[in-house]
Amino acid sequence: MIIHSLSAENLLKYRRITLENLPTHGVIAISGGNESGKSSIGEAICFALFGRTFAVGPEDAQKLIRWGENRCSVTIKMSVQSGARYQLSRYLDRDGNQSARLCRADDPEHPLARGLDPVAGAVRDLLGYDFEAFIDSFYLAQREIITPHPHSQAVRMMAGIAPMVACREELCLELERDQAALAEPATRTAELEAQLVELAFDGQRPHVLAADQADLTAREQLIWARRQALTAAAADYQGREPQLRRAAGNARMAGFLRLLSLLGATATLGLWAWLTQPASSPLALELLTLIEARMPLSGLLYGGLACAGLFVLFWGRILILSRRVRALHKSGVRLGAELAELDELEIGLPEALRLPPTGTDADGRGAPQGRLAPEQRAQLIDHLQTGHASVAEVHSAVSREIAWLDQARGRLIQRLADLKQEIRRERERRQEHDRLSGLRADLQREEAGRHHRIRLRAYASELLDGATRHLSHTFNHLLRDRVGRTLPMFTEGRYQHLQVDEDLTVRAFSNEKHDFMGLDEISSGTQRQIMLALRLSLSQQLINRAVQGNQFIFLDEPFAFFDDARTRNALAVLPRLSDNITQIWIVAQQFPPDLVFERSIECQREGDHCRDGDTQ
Amino acid sequence: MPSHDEPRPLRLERPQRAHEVFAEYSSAERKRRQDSDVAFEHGLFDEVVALVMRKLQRLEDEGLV
Repeated sequence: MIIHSLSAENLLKYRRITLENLPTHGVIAISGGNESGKSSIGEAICFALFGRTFAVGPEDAQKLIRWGENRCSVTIKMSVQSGARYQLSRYLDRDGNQSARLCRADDPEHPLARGLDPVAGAVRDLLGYDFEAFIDSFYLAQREIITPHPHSQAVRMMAGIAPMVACREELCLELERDQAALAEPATRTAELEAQLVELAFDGQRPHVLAADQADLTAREQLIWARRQALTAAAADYQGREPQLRRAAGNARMAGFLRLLSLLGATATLGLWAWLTQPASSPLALELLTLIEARMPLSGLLYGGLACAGLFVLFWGRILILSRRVRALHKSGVRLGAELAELDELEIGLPEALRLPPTGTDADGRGAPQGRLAPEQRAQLIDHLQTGHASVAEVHSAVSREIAWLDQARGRLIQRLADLKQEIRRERERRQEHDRLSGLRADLQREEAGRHHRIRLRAYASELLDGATRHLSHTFNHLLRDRVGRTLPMFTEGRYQHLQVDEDLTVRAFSNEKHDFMGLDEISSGTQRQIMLALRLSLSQQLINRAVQGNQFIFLDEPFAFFDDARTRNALAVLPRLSDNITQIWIVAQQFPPDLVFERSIECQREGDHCRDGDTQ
Repeated sequence: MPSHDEPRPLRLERPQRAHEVFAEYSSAERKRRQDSDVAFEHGLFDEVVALVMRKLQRLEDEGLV
């Protein structure tokens, strides 16, 4: 940035400052005795740019108002590396009211920024540096002879480590945040663990319950099937029992008649055979006569044959009836088998669902009668197999068995209903367990992620520290090399080499003593020369880093402790030290009278108006 | 007059940006750690470098130099 004009009113000792058409290259020499207002010009520039000066902070800015006045103002016109010209104005009154305005020099009616903060931001963007960087580089205050603080933002900016430092600070903040945030998931995880323990969900239990449900359902269906089969078999038996009785009676009757037919046939045919013998006895002859008196002898033959036919007929009848009885017996056998099956069914029932053998229910409520006693069942089955069980007997026994089956099935259904509820509750518990487990897994993932982030950031901070040290080291080398190039010019070759360590402590190598010396071992004039060389190197670094164009520099009494020869030498060398530091403001009590500068400003102790050439 | 009377002027240079410096440093550091640490975690190191590079470039894009 190059200054083209400076004007001010009621600032410090001046009623008015008017510096116009300032040279963009070369030395602007400001001279004058003590309290003549030389430094005020630098402070005016500083105030115009940043709203404060090296000596007066923003909170004490009213001190910049000329004694006896109520307000002051300053306007500076400048150009930046793009070539654009800007006009920056500030106003300040005794009440602390301060305003600022930035506009293009060729368009003053349309400000680019108004107000302290917007103007500060715009100036920062235009110049590429802020007040701290300016003070540590382009502005050497009269009293300042120390090196800049190595950890200042300005030096960080010059070294190029500011982004690294900012990055590390950001990482540290994130690290602290992550570490603090670790506690919450840990607590929440512990709470979830406790809830899971309290829930005590057994992953196998739903399977066991489902298996129980399937088993009981199968049993219930089996009982129902048995009941249906028993009912059907009993109904069948009871339906067939009268037929069986009739068939058995008929068979007995047919057997009797068959016997009679056999006897009749045997007697008739035997008599006929005996009477028809040629040598018959007198009895036979007498009997023959008697029979023939009533019917022909062949009647016996026909009668015998008829009885034989009846015998065969009844035989067949018996066979048919026997077959029917056997068929009817099968119904009894089937019913007996059904009854016998129930024993196995009872054995297969779960212990808790078994009914008491007789009398009352398990809860003693006077339930229906129990099953038949085993011996009664065995006798009934025997009767059924032989077809001797009566309908009443079967009805009574089957009713008891069916009542027992219904009771057992009722218990099973009740148990199944309970089981269904239990399965539903278990399903809800599983859902709760899954939900809590999911939350715990999420928290564990989050925790693992945070640990990873913490590890990353710790590692990144370590790497950044190394890179920052590396860059600082490189920066110090760069400074040392640059100062080494300029220092001999200021010291007439007495000092050529510098050591600049990480905290910017400077030691200079004396060619005369052939050793490095601390600043406190060197004369004040040489200290000032070294600091000037260092300041110029820092300025060049800031230009490289942030300005990237021509720049002014303001040196307030840099030659205070220089002898005449060194002053002349420095004044000759300064304009040629940098291609970019082209406008050099130098304040001195007096300059060698034979030297000519691009602009000379002489300040008078009594004058209150500073303008080109002199003050009045 | 001493021979160093004629100064070599300081010139405008383009300094390395922080992310460029870090890229160079991390590359050298990677080689060094690979050679000295048998348990060197390449993946973690690359992740760290990518994280820092992202942050540095963002800060530089925001105007921090």
